[in-house]
Amino acid sequence: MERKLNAELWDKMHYLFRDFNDRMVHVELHYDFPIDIEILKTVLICFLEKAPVLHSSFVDTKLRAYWRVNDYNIDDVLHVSTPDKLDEAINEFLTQYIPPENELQIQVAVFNKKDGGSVLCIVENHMCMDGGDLKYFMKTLCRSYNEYAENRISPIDLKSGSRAYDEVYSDFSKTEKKMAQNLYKNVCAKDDHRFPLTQDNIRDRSFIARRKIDSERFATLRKSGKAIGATVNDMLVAAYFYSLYELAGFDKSESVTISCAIDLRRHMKDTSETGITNQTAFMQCNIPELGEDIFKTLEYTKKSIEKFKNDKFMGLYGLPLLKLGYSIMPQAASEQVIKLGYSNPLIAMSNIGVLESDKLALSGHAPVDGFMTGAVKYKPYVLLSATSINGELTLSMCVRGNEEDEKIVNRFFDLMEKNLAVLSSKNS
Amino acid sequence: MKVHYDYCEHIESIMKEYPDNTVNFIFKRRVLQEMTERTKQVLDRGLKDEKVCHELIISEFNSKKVLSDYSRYINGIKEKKIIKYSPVAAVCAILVSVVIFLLIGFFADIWHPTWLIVEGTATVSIISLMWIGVYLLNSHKMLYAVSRALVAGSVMVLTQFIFLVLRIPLGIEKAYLIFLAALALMFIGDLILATMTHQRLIIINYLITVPVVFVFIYVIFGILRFYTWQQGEILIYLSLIIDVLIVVGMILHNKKYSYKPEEEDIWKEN
Repeated sequence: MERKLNAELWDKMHYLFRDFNDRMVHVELHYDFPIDIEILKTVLICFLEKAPVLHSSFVDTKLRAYWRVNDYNIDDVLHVSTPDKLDEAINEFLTQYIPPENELQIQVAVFNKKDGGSVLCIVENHMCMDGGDLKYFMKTLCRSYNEYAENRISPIDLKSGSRAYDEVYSDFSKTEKKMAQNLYKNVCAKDDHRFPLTQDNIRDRSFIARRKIDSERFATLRKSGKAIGATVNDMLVAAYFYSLYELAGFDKSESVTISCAIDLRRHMKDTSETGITNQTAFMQCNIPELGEDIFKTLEYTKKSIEKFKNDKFMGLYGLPLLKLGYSIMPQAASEQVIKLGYSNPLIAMSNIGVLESDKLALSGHAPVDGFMTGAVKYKPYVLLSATSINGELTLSMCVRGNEEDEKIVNRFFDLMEKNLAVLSSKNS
Repeated sequence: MKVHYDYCEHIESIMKEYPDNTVNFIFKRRVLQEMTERTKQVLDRGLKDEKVCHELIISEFNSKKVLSDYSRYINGIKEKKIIKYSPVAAVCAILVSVVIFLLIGFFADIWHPTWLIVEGTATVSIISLMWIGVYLLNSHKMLYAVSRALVAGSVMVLTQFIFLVLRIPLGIEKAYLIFLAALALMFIGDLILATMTHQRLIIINYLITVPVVFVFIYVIFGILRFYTWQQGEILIYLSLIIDVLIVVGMILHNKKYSYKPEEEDIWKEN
């Protein structure tokens, strides 16, 4: 008999975002040893069984939406090869698009290097889980791999509870829950400022641009942050603002908004009882003007972020309205209505945070390099992702564009580097 | 296949609190079959380590899942019994009423209006079946529209019986007005159903039902000449006032749970 899973609120929301991005989340981890494929297969099968949404197709009947669980073979999920051109192969794999109707929502590849190392790459549909849970997925995968390799402990530890959006209220008191469920506010990004990419073109292709800030420079930045009372996130957002003004030539007196992803799990004490899912919202970080220098921009940024941090229900504002929209109308109608009130942020940032190399170690080998990044955005939308591993910071931007766009993004990264260096200089 | 875990032992340990009767035996056999099928399915997906597979299946069929399936299974049996025996009980009740009607007719030579006994029993039987339907459909959100139709239908079935009683033995000429009242009762029934099943946006049901019911009251009492049509208009205004009170009540109730973060204009200094 056909097995169905509920399409949860965030699944539907990310499905709605199909006009703005390809909804894929990407991970790339480099190891200096060959990964044992049989062990990885065992772990992956167990994880897919624990999280059936990863081998399901999204069905939209216009009246309702749901996931249909499919049969699969692990060889359709895990792909192993020894490519001649490693970078090309990784890039090709990472920029693939998995349609929601596909039978599998995750693809894993192991690229063996000729020097004996290997690269583990994962692409999955954001409709199934967000960066927060993908990080958890990766850490559990590595832990289970090690436990199975060393002690033959079965890799069955992946959490498999409810994927519902309202799990976010589970640790609230009864009154707080009612308050949160009463936050009927249409949260939308109203800023028209755009990242200066070229016009859409049918020949555009997906690419992932990335820039590394080495451990020395990143350490200096962190030290400088401590000295001036700013977090890495504050400084990244401030540098993002400053670089944007410079790159796009916005008037210095103009107010600009960057939407920053926030992990709603901050409201939950324990997420081990929930399934892998999406619990991410956006906060609109806004500065009134550029300011005379980047430190003034940083001050504005901190103030704006502080306002959200002080809010008990940070990120929970639009949820009741979205839930209402999806529950009282058929799928097709609710999409149309939600589209009327929703505007996708043109400029966004997701600070995915630290990829803990000790927790991502396989058979005692910590990843030597790696990063994680969000979906490929369609122009004019952009999302800057930031992750750090082994003390190095990786900035990445996934864009569907052309060579000119790639140059623009790289120019933006140059500016980011320059501005982060200015922020770091406060220390010295 | 080498067996690493005895699924039977696992199932028995979860079900040890429950008696060893046929009903439970069938359930346990079913779980065992499901676990065996799942094992084969997972192995076919490429898992080569049978021990891992068995442990995976054991973790999937944990006590929480098995007991929740058991609860569903027992409820399913109860529902099936209700579905099976309710129509039989209804038919029996109608047959008994026919026998009573015939006995009164043959022994006392009274054939009218004793036929209302049959009619009344049939009405009660049909309404009971409809309400059982509403009860059984309660867990199926997708079939809420069917529940609403059943509630409305039961009101109409009851109305025709009341109409017959009012018109035939009691001879009330304006008994037809009961059908107008039935329309109002259908709205009220729908509102009660929505309230009991905790439907979303129930406030809208209230806001619609109150004026509609008052309009029917206005018409019925107007036809009965309880007041002049103009005097009766007060009912319409009253319904609107009640609607406003409902809205105000809802706002006040929600206000208790409203949250306003301290919204300071941080850009004032600029």
